[in-house]
Amino acid sequence: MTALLEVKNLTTHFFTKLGVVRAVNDVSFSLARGEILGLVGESGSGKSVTGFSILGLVDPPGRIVSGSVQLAGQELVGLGDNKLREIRGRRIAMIFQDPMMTLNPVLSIGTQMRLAMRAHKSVSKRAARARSAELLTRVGISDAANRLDTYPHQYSGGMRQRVAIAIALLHQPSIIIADEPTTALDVSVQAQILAEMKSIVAELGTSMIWITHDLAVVAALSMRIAVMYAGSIVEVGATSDVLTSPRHPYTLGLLNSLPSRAPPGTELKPIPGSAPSALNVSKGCPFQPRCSMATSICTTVPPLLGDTQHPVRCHNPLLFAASDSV
Amino acid sequence: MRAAAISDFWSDFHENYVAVVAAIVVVVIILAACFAPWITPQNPYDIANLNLADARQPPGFVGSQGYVHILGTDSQGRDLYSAILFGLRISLEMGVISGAVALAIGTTLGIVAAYVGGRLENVIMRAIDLQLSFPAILLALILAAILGPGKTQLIVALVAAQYAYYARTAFGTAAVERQKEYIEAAAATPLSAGRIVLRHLLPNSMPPLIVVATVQIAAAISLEATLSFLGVGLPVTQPSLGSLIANGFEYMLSGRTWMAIYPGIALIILITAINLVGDQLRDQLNPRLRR
Amino acid sequence: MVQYIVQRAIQAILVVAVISALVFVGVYAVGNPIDVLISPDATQQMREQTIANYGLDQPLYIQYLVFVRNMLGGNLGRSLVFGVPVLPLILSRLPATLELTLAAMLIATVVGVPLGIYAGTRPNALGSRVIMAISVLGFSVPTFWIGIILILTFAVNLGWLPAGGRGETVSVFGVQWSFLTIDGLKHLFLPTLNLAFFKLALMIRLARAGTRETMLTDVIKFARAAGLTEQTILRRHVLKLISVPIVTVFGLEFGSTLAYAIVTETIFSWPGVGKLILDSITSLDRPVMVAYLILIAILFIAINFSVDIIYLFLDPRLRRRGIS
Repeated sequence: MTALLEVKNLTTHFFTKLGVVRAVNDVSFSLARGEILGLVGESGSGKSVTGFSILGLVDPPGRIVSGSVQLAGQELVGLGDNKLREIRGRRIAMIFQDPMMTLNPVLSIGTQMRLAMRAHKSVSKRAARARSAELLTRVGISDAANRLDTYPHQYSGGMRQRVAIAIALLHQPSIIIADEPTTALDVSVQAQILAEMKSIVAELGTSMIWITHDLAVVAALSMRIAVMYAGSIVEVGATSDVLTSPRHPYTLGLLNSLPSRAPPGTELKPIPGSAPSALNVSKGCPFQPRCSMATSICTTVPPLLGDTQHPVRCHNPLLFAASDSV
Repeated sequence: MRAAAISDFWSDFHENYVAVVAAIVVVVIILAACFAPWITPQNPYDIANLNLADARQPPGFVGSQGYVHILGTDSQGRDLYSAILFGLRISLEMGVISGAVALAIGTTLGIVAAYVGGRLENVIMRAIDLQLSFPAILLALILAAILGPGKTQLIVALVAAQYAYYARTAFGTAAVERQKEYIEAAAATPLSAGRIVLRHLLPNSMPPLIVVATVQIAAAISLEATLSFLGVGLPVTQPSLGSLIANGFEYMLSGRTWMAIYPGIALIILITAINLVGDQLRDQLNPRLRR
Repeated sequence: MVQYIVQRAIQAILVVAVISALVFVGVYAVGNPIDVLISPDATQQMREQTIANYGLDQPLYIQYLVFVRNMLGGNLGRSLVFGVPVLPLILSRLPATLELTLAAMLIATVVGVPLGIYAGTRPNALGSRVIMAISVLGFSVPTFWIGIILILTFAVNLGWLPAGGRGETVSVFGVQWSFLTIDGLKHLFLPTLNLAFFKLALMIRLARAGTRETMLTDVIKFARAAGLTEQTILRRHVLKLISVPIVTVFGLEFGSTLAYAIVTETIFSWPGVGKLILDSITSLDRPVMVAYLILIAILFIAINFSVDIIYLFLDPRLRRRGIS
């Protein structure tokens, strides 16, 4: 089955006064129809910028420097603004992290949904209301028809995010990019939204890229995981494979640092050191300073992502199933 | 401010050519105003110097005193070039002095209100708000008229019209600062309130106050010129740029435009230059818009 | 919400009362009102006669109470200079000033806001830089000088427009308005432009700053991600978001514009309240000053009040508690 979305060697840099911020370096992955891909990484790893790059939403002083993003064979990088706009919201939709910041506080929910609808289709006010109510009900908002004239500040965070999801679903996109949509929500609400999104996406056959720093979330939701570090993908594979047999030392470190994995009463094991600044790029592997498996080649030669079923960007990948911490 | 911060500030500042040119212009004008008595052929305030036969002559006219009036003369026989330089002097004097006094009064009120809080804050800030909603020009006009002509009276009027802006700005930043934890922490120590205000609240309020000060000084100069133009403020024997323009206005319709135009140009250059510097300062000192 | 409106109305009345007292005291307590009325070489007897006539021998608070009683009856005293009742005097000249002020504020907003939004979306374009340069000038050049230049250029040199005075008027609801005639518009144009310049610069800068800030928010990013055109984003999202500060400034600046009309009316010989008040200030015609200030205060409060009501429509977050 050909991939629905094919990202190859995507590189996005920010050209600031202080220097070039290499946010995304040579990122490649693919997304099949109906697949949920979890894009995992800590803050600053470039995962959000990757999501924005796919839709061409990178604000100056940033821009896509090289690489390709193909949606069902159509190249998106370098596509003119008008054409990109046809894709945004219609074939690829995006949900952001904090719905309080993304929904306009001075426009009613109905108005915002209608504007999103009219971006791609001319609809009468009545038709817009009907469709909006239908979708709001679908995402779990009760009494939808009466809610259309209300405003975002009248809702809780979870409800607002549902509205954002409803907006994303308006044109039945083939792909939804979700940028940490549950990070700003309470844990219980988080679980609800995750479950609902999973069912909606399965029902509609939509593909999804779920960007998060939370391994627990991807474990529950995604079919494949791509781990990002310092702007590059360091490991890709099926969720079960990556979580039970991680091949990159960073992934292993992430798993081991999860509080849920530590037996009660023992010390937590964070990964020593901190993520590198995207301004100063080291010669070798960016993870080398914090890596317990590093050898001399790691300081001089950047490793490449392999081409296997479970590729990993490492000179010394782990080859055994990790049951103990390293 | 530390040396590194100052040099950073300077390197950012001189990226904007317009602001640098403006700053140079301001400095030149200030110097010209300071040395006015030495670089002008005439003291326009000394009535003995004036000869009515020289009046209303166009630029280039050679007067009874024997020198060329490069910008012409006004209706009293004053050499316009001299009158303009002395007028700039008055404008700067009025603007800077009233600005400084308004800054002192306003900042004190604002910071005290912010630090003490409670009812005092309410009373002070409501009064300030009330005053801010009253047009400055009207207040200055009435005060100047009631107090009578004279430099001090005019300064009082200008200060009364301005201090509220400083108070509001100082209050705003101090109110934000006082909520920050380090102030609470400082309050728990034996440091006196005065010290906390002087060493912490005040320095952090400085950047926005500097921006307001620049804009306000320009506004004060404009206000003083307007008052003089309307015939209120300074005595007729000490014409500021505004009164020169007012005098010239009468003759404008008959073609003797130089009497109003040249003082006007001088005034505008001064005010615009100060505003441009203020703009650049504001862009630089406002962290939100830095990209 | 009704409660909120009533509350504000009561506050407004109280403020008017307080201001009338302050104004009265301020104007009458400073200096000597007699000096305007009597020539220096009047006899002592004539002085005392005049003082008694005008009630100026009474203690200040009695004078104030008399004043309030008269005010409530619609009588605001007589002009010391003109000798005619103050209220009709002011009211007869008010329409001219209101016409000028409203026209100026409208032009400043209707022209300034779109220019500012444009400059905010494309800060580095040539057009934007030109707009910003003009706004700095509008900000820096004193109103009176702009008036002089306008007259010089359009009236003296080009001869297109008249140099002063008000044009033909048409009576609507018993009030004379000049914007309804061509001749009236010709006379209205330059003074309006003059008065509007400063506010125009202000509106441009305000709209530009607001637009720049808003364009960086996630609301706009989300709207873009949904595929909205930049036009729609500007018209429906950005405009609504910056409308609150713009309306605020509009309200605040209305009063200041009214005051600056003094300058414009002087230059263009516009027969409005501004010229009247200037003359009364310089000649210390106190009844006129007091009446003018109180009327201005009432006008301000009415404007603030309307602005508060408009807020409720613009920002739905304020409707919940009805408190700003």
